[in-house]
This record gives sequence, C-alpha cells and structure tokens, in this order.
Amino acid sequence: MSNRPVLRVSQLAVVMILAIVAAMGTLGAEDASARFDRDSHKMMCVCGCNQLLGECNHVGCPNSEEMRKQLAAQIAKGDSDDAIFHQFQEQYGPVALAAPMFTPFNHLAWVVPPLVLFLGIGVTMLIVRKWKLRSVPMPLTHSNPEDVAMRNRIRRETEI
Amino acid sequence: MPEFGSFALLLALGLSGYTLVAGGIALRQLATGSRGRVSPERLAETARRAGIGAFLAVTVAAFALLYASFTNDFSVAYILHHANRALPLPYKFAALWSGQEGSLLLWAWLLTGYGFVLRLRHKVDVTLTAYASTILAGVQVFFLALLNFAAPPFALVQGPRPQDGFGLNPLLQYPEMVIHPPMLYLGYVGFAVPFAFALGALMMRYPGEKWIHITRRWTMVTWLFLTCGIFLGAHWAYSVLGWGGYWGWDPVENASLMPWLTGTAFLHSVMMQEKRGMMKTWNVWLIFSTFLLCILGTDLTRSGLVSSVHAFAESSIGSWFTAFLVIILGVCLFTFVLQRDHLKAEHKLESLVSRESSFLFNNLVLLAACFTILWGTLFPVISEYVQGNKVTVGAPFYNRVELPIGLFLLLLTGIGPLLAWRSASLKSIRRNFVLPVIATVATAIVLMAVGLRPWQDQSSLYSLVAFSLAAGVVTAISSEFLRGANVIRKHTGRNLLASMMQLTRRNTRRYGGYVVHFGIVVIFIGIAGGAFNQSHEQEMSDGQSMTIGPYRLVCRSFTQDSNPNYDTEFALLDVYRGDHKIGQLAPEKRFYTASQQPLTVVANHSTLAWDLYTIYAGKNPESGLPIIKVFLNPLIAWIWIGVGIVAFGTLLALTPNLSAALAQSRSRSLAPGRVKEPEAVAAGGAD
Repeated sequence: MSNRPVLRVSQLAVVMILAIVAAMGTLGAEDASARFDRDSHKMMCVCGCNQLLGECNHVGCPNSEEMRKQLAAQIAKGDSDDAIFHQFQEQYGPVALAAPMFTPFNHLAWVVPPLVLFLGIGVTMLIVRKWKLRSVPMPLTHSNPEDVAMRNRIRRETEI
Repeated sequence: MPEFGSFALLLALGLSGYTLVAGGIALRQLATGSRGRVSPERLAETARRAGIGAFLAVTVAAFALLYASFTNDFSVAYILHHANRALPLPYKFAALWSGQEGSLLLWAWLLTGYGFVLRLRHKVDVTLTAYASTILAGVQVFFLALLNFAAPPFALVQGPRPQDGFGLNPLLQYPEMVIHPPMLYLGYVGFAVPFAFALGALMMRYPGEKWIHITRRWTMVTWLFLTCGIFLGAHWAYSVLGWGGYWGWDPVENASLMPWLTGTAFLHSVMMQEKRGMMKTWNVWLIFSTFLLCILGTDLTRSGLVSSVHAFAESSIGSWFTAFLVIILGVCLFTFVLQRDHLKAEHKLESLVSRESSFLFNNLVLLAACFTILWGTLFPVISEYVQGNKVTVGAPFYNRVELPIGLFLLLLTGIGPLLAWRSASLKSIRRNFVLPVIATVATAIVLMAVGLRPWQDQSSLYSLVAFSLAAGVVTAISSEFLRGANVIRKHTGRNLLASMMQLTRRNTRRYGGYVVHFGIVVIFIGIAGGAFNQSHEQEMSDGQSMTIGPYRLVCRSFTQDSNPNYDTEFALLDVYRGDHKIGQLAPEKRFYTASQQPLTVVANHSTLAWDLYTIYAGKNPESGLPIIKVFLNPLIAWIWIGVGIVAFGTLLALTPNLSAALAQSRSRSLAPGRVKEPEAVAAGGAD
C-alpha cells in the first residue's frame, strides 16, 4: 500500500498543529476587570527579590507597595498598558518589566525560540523525506552477532 | 577535626589525580600495545583502587564537616555562617549543603560515591569501565581541586572562637530542604556516569550498543533523582516562599530543568539506537549536552552571571566552572571529530509516520524547550552586552513560549506509542487513533459546554487544550494496556486485571514507560488548573470572615509566640465549607533570632480539587490587625500525585522483565541432570 496519503495527512496535521501553536503564542485577550492583576504580573519588584510585582510579599520591601500604588493610579487615570510599561521602564529601568519589550533587539527574545523549533521541524521533515526517497536499506556495517542477539532480545522485550 | 577533614580532601585529590593519570597511561598502553615496567592491567587495577580510596577519603571529609556542625564548632568559618546552637538537629545535617563550600563537598561526595559503585561493578565490562573510571576521575579532580584551593569547607575563623553561629537561612529551615538538595545533586552528579561511559565508548570505539545497555539503569535512576529533586524544590517553593505558586522560572530552577529535558530526550532516543542502530551521533551529543548543562547550571548559579533568589553569592569559582566547561566541551569535540566514523547509523528513517519519527520529533521538541530556557536565562546577559542594559526575562516570557511547546510535547506523548516501528499504515493509524481522537474532541466539547471559554483569554485556551489532550493521551495509554491484556486474557483465561499485571511484568520497560507518561499527563492536568486560580486579601479581626470559592474562613484569634530559634506571629482561622467546619489553619510569620531574617509559613488545606492556601501577610501598622492573603489553587495536588506516578513508573521500568527471569529459569530447568520446575513450566505455558 502506498504511503503517500499517510504522508499528506501527517503533513497537514503538522501544519495545523504549528498553526495552533502559533495562534496560541499570539493570543491574549483583554480583561479589564483584572487589569491591575495582569499588569502587576508583567512587572518585577525592583528591590532585588526577583519576584513579580504582583507576587512580591517579603516583609519590609522598600519598593513593591509604592510601585503597586503607582500602577493602580495610572490604571485609574486611564493610561494604556504600553504607556504604563514605558513609564515604569523610564522610572525604574528595563529590569522593572518582567519580559523584554519595546526595542527591536528585545523582540528577538520572542522570535528566536519558535523560529528554532519550526526550523528544526522543517529540517527534520526534509531529512526524513530525503532518506525515504533513497529508501535503500543500509548495509549493517557495525553489527556483530552479539549485537544482533541483544537487539533481538530488546525487540522481544519491548514488543508484545 | 577540621584539620582532619582538610587532610582527607587533600588525600582524595591525590588519589583521584592518580586514578586519572595512572588510568590514562594504562589505557594508552592497552590501546597501543606498548608496555612499561608495570603491566597496563596492574596499573589500571591500582587506578581503580585509588578511585575507591578517593570515595572513602571524601566520606571522611563529609563526616568531619557534619561532626563540626553537630558539635557547634564555630571555629570553622562555614559552620559559623550556616549553623547556630539553637538550630534543630535535622537542619544541622542540612547545613552540609546550605552554603557554597558544603554543597561542593556534597557534590564531590556523591560523585566519588557514584565512582565507587562503578569501580566496584567493573566486571560488567573491564575495559569500558576503566575508561569511564578514568574520565570520572578527571571530573573528581576538578571538584576536589575546587574544594582544596578555591572553596575550602574547613577554613578556620581568624581571631577568638565565636560563641554562636549566624544560623541557617530561614528559607532552608523546612523539612523538604533536608532531602531536596541531595536529590537534585544525585541527579546532576549522576549524569556524569552515562557521560563518562559515552565518552569512554567513543574514545575506545566500543563496538555495538552495550554501553547504552550498561548505562540505561544509571541514566534512569539519575533521571528519577533529578525529577524528584526538581519537584521537591517546586513543593518547597510552594510551601515556603508564600507567593501562591510553585515555579517562578528563576535561573536556578531553569538550570535544573535544562538537563532534565535533554536527559529525557536521551532516554527516548537511545531506544532507537538499541532497537535499530540509529541516531548514534545524536545520542552521544545528547548525553554530552546533558552533562555540560549540569555544569553550566552550576556555573550560572555560582558565578553571579545571572541574578537569582537562589544563587550563591558571586564568587571567583564561576571562572573555574567556565574553564571546566570549556575543557569538557573541547575533549568531547576532539573525541567526536576523531572517532565520528564510528557513529554511522545502521538504518535510516523509512517513514515520517513511524515510531522512530515520533521519537525524533519528541527529541526536537524537548530540545526546543531546553533551548528556550537557555535562551531566556542568558538573554539578560546578551542584552547587557548588545544594548548596554540588563532586561528581565521572567515568568510572562516562559509562560507564553514554553507552554505551547509543552502542549505539543503532551500531544506527542499520546501519538508516539500508537505508531508502529519503521512505518505505520493508514489502517493501523485509523485503528489506533480513533478512540484517543474521540476522547480529545469529546472532552473539549464537554469543557466548553460546562463553561470553559477558550476564546476569552490565553490561559483558558491552554487549559482547554491541556485537558483535552490529557484525555486523549490517557485513552491512548489505556487502549495500549487493554489491547495487550486482552491478548494475554485470551491465551490464559485470566481476568483483565491479572492479565494487565502479567503484561506489565512481561515488559516492564515498555509499560513502566507508559505509567511514566500517565504521570506526566496527571502533572499537566495539575498545571492546567492554574488558569482558574483565585486570590483574596483582607484585614481580619476576631470573628471576621472571608469567602473564597466554596470556602469561608473565620478568624478565631491572632497571637504571638517565641522559642530560642525564632519569634512568631500567627492567626487561627476556622475553615468552613457550607455550614460544616472542615478544619483550622494557622498561617504564620516567623522572625529568626540568629539570622535576623523573616519567614512566611504557609498554612494549606489541600484536596484533590483545590488547595486553600493561606498566608499571614503581616500586620496593618495602623489598626494592628493581621492581613491574611488567601489563594484558591485548583488541582495542585495532581502535580504531586503525578510525580509519585512518574516515580512508580520509573521504578517499574527498572525492574527486570518476567520473560528474562523465565528465560533464565527455563535454561536452568533444561540443563542436564535437572528436573523441570513446575512454576516455570506453568509460566512458560502462559507465553
């Protein structure tokens, strides 16, 4: 039986999965009622505790309370998220934002991982396709009787 | 005693150095056929014995440090900084790994301990073990040189001997901290063994795949330790740090996850080498990378290169680790270039739709996840170099990038076992995938029908996908079990449960692996529950109540207490569900006397459905009333249960197959002059 339909179906499935993964990566709906909670989880407390602003709970923190008040005030004023993040970055430095933003170089942080994954998948598919087109069984260059016996044993033990 | 410990460390360094040099000379002589005054076999044997001696010497040093901790010997600077008289005994024990020098000593102890076992079991393959022992000795020399010259644990305090110590960091005074670091280190250090075997096998052009067979158990045990270590750390963070979560994507957490991911990839891809002689280069580099990532993680933690709440203070030993990393990478590259023709695959992938390709994609996704973590961890450093300022790469980045990758991995967990080796036909795909796909789609529909709205926000979408895929994967695993069990049931007439047990015993590796997959699914379900977290903060006076989800908390009282180790403030909260009181919680805030540091002690009421997680956030200075923060975290318990299942599955996969035992007993029973054993005959009939 030809494997062509199987190949097509699998290619289609992989493309759909990648599309879903990409869509999930870019999705992020607004939720006005939880805006303070959401924004405070996109910023860091700058006292050096390495905690998200919304989660900083250490006793006597010199920064988090003031930063949270400032965030609440800016949200109440109707500032956009971008304006708030810009303001915090200007005031406390880029470390106040919990993820890289704004500069083209910072966007690289987001682009590189999915790019590497997609490239890896693409290259793997190409290699497999190339191997498949050759489709001539390779000679057993390294097999010795002991290996063959062991491999057969492993096959027996791992297959029902 | 400190002098004794110091001497033991020096002796261990000398013995490890001897193992490295003498072992290297012996192996060179064996490879070239040259002979010195002493035969290479005898030289190699002395090297092996010196390696065993190194373990004994490091053991003496470790006990010397523990003795100093238990006897409050504050003339030792390390004990002065990490213990005090009022410290409870278990934490005096934990002081061994609570600081830089002590944790390095623990690392060296475990490393020489693994080496001890390896050298005792040298008869498995004398030459290969000699190579592995020599490579391991090289790693030992590095750690022991560090302990002797850069971070000595027995350094003495200058001037008069202090009466009391500065105490242990309060965050470390928690029961899990007594076992979490040793578990993690057992994982990190353990990967040195398969690394040494892989490098040794490549150096000596070891024929076949026996080295993988020898190291399989080492790798699985190490992987299990690392898994338990990571999740014990997560549980500790959840129980002690008091921010309501268990994973903060801190660089130190990331450092432990990276080798776990590559180690997991290795455990999968070695099966392709064992079964089909494929991916030899890939596997060698996977285990090299895993060990290199263990060292890189340690480098990141100890060099101060990246900032972390866990990181040890910035010190000069970071440059030692960087140099060591470069040396290992150099040795691996050199050996690989020299011997790469030895790693030619015996077969190639024949189809994109096969078990092999699912392993390949699983590897790819695991490596992509690992790369993402490495990229995120190092991006602040790269940014500082390129832009001149450090940026933060925290949870929002990882949650957005890693979660889709994780879900893709979950999907592959379901697909992989359903595909046949070499090439899966359309018919078999249709037969194997119908039920899991139905389960996935049905779960998604049911979840949306009961109110989950994936289009509303990202976390709901992730949760829906995770729950649906989890249903699909569980169906796939169950159908695999059932299919196999039915075959046995038809042959033996036993009931389904007994057949499933026999099936598992006949192929523990395969079905143990499925149990591990099931555990991973359960962990994913627990993580997916995070989309529905709720929290509430309120000032509470006596008798005042607060409601969250199905629970009502009533403040009974708030009070203070003290003991020699710490002062404490806590609130007593009665927990009601409806009108029934189901328990009492006492969140507290401690202030440790010796270290002058505070600690939040979380009070948690955990059920399968929710964790009611309460924190004593502090007192309002104006009203004097306690501020209580409450989280309602759904499905958290599933994460810890999932880890238990993963551990059980791994142990199952480590146990010998029934078929192997039967084959052994059969060969015994067929030996001349022996009577057939009835049990073996009966069991043989079952086949």
